[in-house]
Amino acid sequence: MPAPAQTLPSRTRNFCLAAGLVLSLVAAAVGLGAYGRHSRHGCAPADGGGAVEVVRTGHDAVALWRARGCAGQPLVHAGRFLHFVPPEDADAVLRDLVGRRGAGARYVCDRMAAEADWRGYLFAAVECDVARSIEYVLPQGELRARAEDVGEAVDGDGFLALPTESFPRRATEALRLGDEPALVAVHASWFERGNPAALLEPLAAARVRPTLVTVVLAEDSPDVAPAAREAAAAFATTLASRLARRPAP
Amino acid sequence: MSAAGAPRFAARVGAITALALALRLWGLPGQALFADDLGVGVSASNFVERGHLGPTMWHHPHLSDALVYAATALAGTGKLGLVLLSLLFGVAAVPLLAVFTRAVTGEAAAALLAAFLLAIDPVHVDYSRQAVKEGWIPFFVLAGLVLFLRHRRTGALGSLLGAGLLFGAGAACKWTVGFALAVCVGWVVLDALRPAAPERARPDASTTAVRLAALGALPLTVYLLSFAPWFGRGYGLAEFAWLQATLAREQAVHAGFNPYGMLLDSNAWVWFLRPAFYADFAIGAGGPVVLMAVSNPVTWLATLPAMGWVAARAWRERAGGAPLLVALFLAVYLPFVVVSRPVWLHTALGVLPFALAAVAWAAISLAARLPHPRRWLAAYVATATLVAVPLYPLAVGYGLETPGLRELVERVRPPPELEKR
Repeated sequence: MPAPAQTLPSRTRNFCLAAGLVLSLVAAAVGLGAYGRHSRHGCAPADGGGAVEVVRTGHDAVALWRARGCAGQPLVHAGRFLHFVPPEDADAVLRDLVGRRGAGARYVCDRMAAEADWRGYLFAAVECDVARSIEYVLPQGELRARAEDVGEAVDGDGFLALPTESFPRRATEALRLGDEPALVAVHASWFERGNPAALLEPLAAARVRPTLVTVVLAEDSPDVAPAAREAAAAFATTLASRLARRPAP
Repeated sequence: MSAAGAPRFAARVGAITALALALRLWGLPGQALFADDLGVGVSASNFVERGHLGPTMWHHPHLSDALVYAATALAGTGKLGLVLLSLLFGVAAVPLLAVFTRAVTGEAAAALLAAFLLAIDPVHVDYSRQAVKEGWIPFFVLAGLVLFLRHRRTGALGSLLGAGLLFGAGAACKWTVGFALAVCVGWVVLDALRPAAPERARPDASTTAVRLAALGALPLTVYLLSFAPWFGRGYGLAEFAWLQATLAREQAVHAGFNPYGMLLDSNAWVWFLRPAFYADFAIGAGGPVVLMAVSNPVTWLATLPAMGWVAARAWRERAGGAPLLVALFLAVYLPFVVVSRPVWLHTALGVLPFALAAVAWAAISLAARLPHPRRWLAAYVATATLVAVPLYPLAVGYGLETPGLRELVERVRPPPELEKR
């Protein structure tokens, strides 16, 4: 025999509860999205207000980003290399987390930043949550070589996916700045094969200005020639001048 | 079951649960930490305090990291603190299997037998003593199912919401739990679409709506919220979708973190056709410790014939618990059979409760047709127990010290070129 039909109050209760559960899902999604946005911090301006900073090494770049409070930003990096080699004791540093309850985030970041060098300074930037994604801009011709190395194809938009486990990384050959303010790093290795104008024009004309452009002279890197470092320093001066002439948004 | 029989059933389930606890706890405090135990502790801190995934099992969801972090706050970061939840969930799965099996079969004897077989199962014992979350899956699946079945029987909304929460929490630890949840959702949809019959009422739209919301929106909410520490690194919803796709891609091809794993049984289709094994190694204060999980052939090899018997019954009756049991078994097992990546024995813990429920139900029903059914059942239980006895020291890491078992353990020693990894 069929069960008796639901009474009106119980039907109303069921529909209200169903709607409440769906709304909870929507609220959780919206709330987490807002939490993520709230956790992003553009780099604080320097005392002089300059939007371009020149640093000697990748290690110095990480120190600068931390000092300026850069957090949760997309990082756009122009250069020939990926700079994502973890320090040799990275596993040991993570193992130490268990005994440092409540202070783990600061501890790991301090250790990784202290050990950051030309091979892994972007790895340190990720460990310190300066960047939540990395987009590499490679000089012309290098993207295809990278694609062959990893056995992946460049997609229709010109991007090569290079995820490291769960961290989003991709590479391209054209500097493209989106609607969200990004942290931009220009590595001196770019100037060995890349055209300075390919960076200068998009940066100077960007609709949404980067929160900080860091020019890394790579003085500790054996793969960068002195001439490229000089070109990088000159690029920084030119870019700073172009940006200074343009009114701040 | 009569009201008079309920206390006796509860007492027997309690006794089996006590046995399960004793088997899982014996020799555990002070046992060497395995690399996976330590990795789980590191991953818990890495996720909760930093929002970073990994280093262990970054490709799984991460509520388990938050739960392990909370457990170590209570019980410390030693062996017991790290494995506390596996121990609790492992032991709790035993009475839950009794309640589930009784609800599905209507047979208290089958329920007790299934619970006993799980209590002494070497693979389940092994993974109730390790920090990795494989042993958690039967708990979340069975707890969700028990509450959902209770809701269907009584209409209690609290049970429905509890089921949604537990399924969500389970899926936020490991996606495998989603297979059983999908069966429940399918059942709700089928109920709503089937025309009413004299023996079966058709639920009204409001009942279907609240069931779908509780089994859809609620688990998704739990799942989403479990990633809160990761969102705290600045990520948004589009990146969350990217992350889920990345996890799925890795899940599809994951081949373990150690090449030694490829020398172990890594095909799901062998689970119920021949004895299978998995091994973990650690160096303790007194020398090497080897956890060697070997499936009990008396129960595992009876699974497919028993499930065939349940399937035939489901075909005949088209109602009751048999179709549900078959659907659950197939929904959880088949994805692992068809996937091309390696699937190790511990993954079988997700399907083991349904296998044991079928074995117990078939054993009770078949014995009832024989003269002296109690003797036949006693013989089966005795055989399963006798086979489990030598498998127990292997499962809990005392095989090397046990006469007659050392040679067996030596056979799983990694080859020299892999020993240093």
